[in-house]
Amino acid sequence: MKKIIALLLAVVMVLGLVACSGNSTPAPADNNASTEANNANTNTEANAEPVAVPEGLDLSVHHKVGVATVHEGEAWEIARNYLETIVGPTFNMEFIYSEKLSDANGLIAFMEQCYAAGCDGIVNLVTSNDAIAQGAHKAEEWGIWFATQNSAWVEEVAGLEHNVGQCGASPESVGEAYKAAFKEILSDGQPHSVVLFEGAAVGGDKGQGAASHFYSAVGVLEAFQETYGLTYDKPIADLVNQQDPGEVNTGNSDVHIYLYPGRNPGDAVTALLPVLQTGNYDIFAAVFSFAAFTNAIADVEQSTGKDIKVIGTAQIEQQTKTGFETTDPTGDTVLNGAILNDLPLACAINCIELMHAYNGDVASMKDNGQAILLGVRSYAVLGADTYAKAEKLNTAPELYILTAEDLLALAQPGVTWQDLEAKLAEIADLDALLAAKGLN
Amino acid sequence: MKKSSKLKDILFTVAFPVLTWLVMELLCLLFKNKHVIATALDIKTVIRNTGITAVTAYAMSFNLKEGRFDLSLGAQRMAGTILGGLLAMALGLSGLWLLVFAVAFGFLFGVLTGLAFISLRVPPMVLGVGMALIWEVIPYLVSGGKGLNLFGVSGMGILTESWFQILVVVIMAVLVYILMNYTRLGYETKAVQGSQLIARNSGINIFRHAVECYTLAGALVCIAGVLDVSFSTQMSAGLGNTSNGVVTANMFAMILGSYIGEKSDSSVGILTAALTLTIFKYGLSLMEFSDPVNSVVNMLIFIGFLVFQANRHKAALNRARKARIELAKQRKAELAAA
Amino acid sequence: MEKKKANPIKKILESRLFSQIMPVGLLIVLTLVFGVITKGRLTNPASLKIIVEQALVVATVSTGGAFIFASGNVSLSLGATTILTATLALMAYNATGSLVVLFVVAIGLGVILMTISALLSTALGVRVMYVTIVMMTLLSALQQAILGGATVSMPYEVVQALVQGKVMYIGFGLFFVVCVVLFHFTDIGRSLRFIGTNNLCAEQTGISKSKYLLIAFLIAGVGCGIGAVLAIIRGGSIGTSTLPSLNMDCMLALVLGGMSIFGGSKSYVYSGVVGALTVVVLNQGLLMAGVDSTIIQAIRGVAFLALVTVSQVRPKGLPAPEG
Repeated sequence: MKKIIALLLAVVMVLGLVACSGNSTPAPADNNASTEANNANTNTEANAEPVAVPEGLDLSVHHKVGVATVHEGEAWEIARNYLETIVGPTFNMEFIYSEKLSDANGLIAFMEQCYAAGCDGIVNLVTSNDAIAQGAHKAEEWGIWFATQNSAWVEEVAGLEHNVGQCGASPESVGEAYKAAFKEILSDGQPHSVVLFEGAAVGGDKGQGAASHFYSAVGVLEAFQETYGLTYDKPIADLVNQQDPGEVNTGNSDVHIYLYPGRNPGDAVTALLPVLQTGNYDIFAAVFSFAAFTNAIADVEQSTGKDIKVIGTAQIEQQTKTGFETTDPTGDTVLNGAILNDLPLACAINCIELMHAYNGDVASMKDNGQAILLGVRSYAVLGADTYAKAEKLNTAPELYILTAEDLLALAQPGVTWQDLEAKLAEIADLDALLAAKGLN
Repeated sequence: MKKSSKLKDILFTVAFPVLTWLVMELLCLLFKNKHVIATALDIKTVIRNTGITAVTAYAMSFNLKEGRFDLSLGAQRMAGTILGGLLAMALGLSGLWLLVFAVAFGFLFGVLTGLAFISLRVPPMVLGVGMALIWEVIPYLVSGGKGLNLFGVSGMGILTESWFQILVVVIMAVLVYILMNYTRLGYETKAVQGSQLIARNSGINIFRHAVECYTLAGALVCIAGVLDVSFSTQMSAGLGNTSNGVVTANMFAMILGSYIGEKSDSSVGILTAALTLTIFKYGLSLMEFSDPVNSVVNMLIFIGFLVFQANRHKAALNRARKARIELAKQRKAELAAA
Repeated sequence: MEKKKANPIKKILESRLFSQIMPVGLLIVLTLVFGVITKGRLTNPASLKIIVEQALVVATVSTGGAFIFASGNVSLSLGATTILTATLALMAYNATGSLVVLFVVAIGLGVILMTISALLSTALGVRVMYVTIVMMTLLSALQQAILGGATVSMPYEVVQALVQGKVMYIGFGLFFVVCVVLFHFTDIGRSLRFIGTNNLCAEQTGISKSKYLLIAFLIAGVGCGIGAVLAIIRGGSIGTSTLPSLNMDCMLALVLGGMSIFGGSKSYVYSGVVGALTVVVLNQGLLMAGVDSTIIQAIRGVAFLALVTVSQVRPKGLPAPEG
């Protein structure tokens, strides 16, 4: 009897969960539903004005797009909200999201589910060359379109017909942003030392780790080298590609650089605390999850009485704001500099690439038949004032970097990848972007 | 005689962390010219890590002592801590309340897991797999996938204070000591440890007892979660049945603690083992061992310890056997002489 | 004395035939139900092929694991063994460029790693539960130490050649057939089931628990080796985050596939295959029906517990401590 009760309870629970889930994923829309109706519904939610569809842009066909993500947390929720409320209704797209994925196996399994569920496009955020290569080949095999976010160009699959292109934080720009930020901090003529949590930098130049992490570390090492005339005992790429954590031989006893590669900030905090405690370091940089280190840094500051400046790769989200607005035990702000990447922007570019493919215009997104990499510039923010303006981005339909109007303009026939590149260059300057949005 | 035996036991217990510290100090000085404990901050770090390890090991011990390994404990830790944190933040309450709410949620998840165990009566490991799949979803849905982020949240400072962490760990140690030595739960635990069947036949309500163990484990593991998140500021709401790794990593402390506790008490033993292993890991970090290598070294030593523990009675048995034979031979010789 | 009348439902639920038919029946019912809900999209040949391919790695590893489970033991380190094996085998392949080396290293390493696990418990007397948990942590830490943050990959042309050559199906098929023969038609399977049914009785009738447990781990090791090759072919690369939940997925598959969680006579070697397919059909079907992927995980958990409860004989007391 108890077994039957258990079974019944389970059935009720399953049904309940299915019923609850009804709200979390939109039911497949009628393929013939008009775009206007779709726009009207969601734009009400987003409080946006309906936007005129450019001539020649066919939005009558409903597309299902699988979004394979490696992200979680607030920044991802902002990007997801942008896809749901702006991109989806504008392009008549419906999105199916993966759980947080991390590798080729997860991507392939998710793509298979999407393909079986009727998706005709994939936006892939799994950033490893192996995953991208496998995913692009699978998409080619099934004849569905494949757009990717990654900072490194994957030449191996660039020639595939259904690979519509890549876009991601431009490695050079991330490196440059770090270099610029560090040069500014190091420019006071004093010797400085850094502990760098370099994330998945190892192999980032070979498509194995994360290219943006690799070039971030390179940017930091270059800034130190150029400022202090350091003589490293190995080429910078080799230093960054070292798997074991440790101090770099800088050839200058006053300047210390400690590199810690690793994907788990929790482990890194434990391991780096004794390093920071030596009192040798006055800068800490993290290519992701800077907030996880802030308590440890505060402890060290309290213990040594020395300020440690913090620079990190971040998104426009609450914790970045908190970092710039909160003070540490020495009275300085917790976060001193942020290298901002805008996730919604990269997602939008991928969807624009897909729209061109849906409209039979995939060639315009390719350079002589080769998928190209569009670099989204990172923004270096070195103060609370600038961040206070930047944080207003993505908070309203008209304050996304690419609005519904921009999306339609960039998706219309005749627009080429060069136009997208030009648009990205146009918004590459943060001050100009903020001015254009009326946020300066 | 009694006094000297007590002193021996104390020395045995203290020897573990002290010897570990000496070895690591020597190695760190030799290879890196560093001290394991050089500043007050080192002490603070060791206290915090010992606290997290000890409380997690206490949580595991309630079930593991009786042969039940709950694979959903990590998910309970994640769910209780995130929900407790979100509730405290939503109400604008301090870190103390976060701890209270997290413990309350831990209690709830523990009770429900325990009730599921006695109702479904499937093996604990199998139950744990299913329950973990369910528990992991709850914080994900409630937090909208964001997990818990305490960065910059005011009023949480108390949780990272060393005195507070010491207080929490000492209270937990005393609580576990009292529970295991002066209450019905402790009596029943010892009985079930011996034989669940005999315990049941002798009138112990093993069903209620199991629920109590699950409940306490759920509550304690959430305390460890709070101590952890208060320092790291973030706890992600991970899915995919991968939440238990953080709990499993503390199994060595629990097993070593039970061994050390043979000469004192398991609550003291686990605390001592947690301190010993924290010093050991901290020393390896100072020697710039990466985290995976650190884990490999720890696990290899753990395996060595398990092998020792499984076979340590063999030597004594052999000695006793030899002594018996020797005695028999002696007696035979005596008889022959007579 | 009046004979107590048996509850017919209980009798059916606890019958051997029910435990054999129920998992397969459930798989068929689930497939049909989701086929109807998704208007045939789930049951079209392309989708079915995808379902089978998604299930192959878990099916292979858990088929080997069935031998351990049959003896009443639980192994949580099957996944970690498979992934470490895959990493090292792929590195060996990249160093030599030889597929023979890939297969030999994969199977050899799988066997060696599982033998170490077996010897720890059989020769050195450590409890299987502890061995399996420690090995799970140790092997994944070892993989992280070897790889760091990097991944190791196989050239796509080679992956494609292996896919075209149906290596995944052949590898799984051969292993499965051998396992069926060993499990159901030889002393090995019978002895392991006997040990699972009554450990003490088995030993008293001359069955060496240590010997058969070692054999079970060896076969599971071969499964891990073949599973490692399949994982390489399927993803083309192996990293520290490859198949993170494989340990649990194997247990999930075996139990959903009808393997008795206490081992013994109600153990079937095909459980891993049926269970792996059931998990994939459930995932795929719910996703196609528009259910959020987060909710699917909870449904998987509830379904798992419900099925375990229904398909096992409920003990009068609480389950035995080990496992």
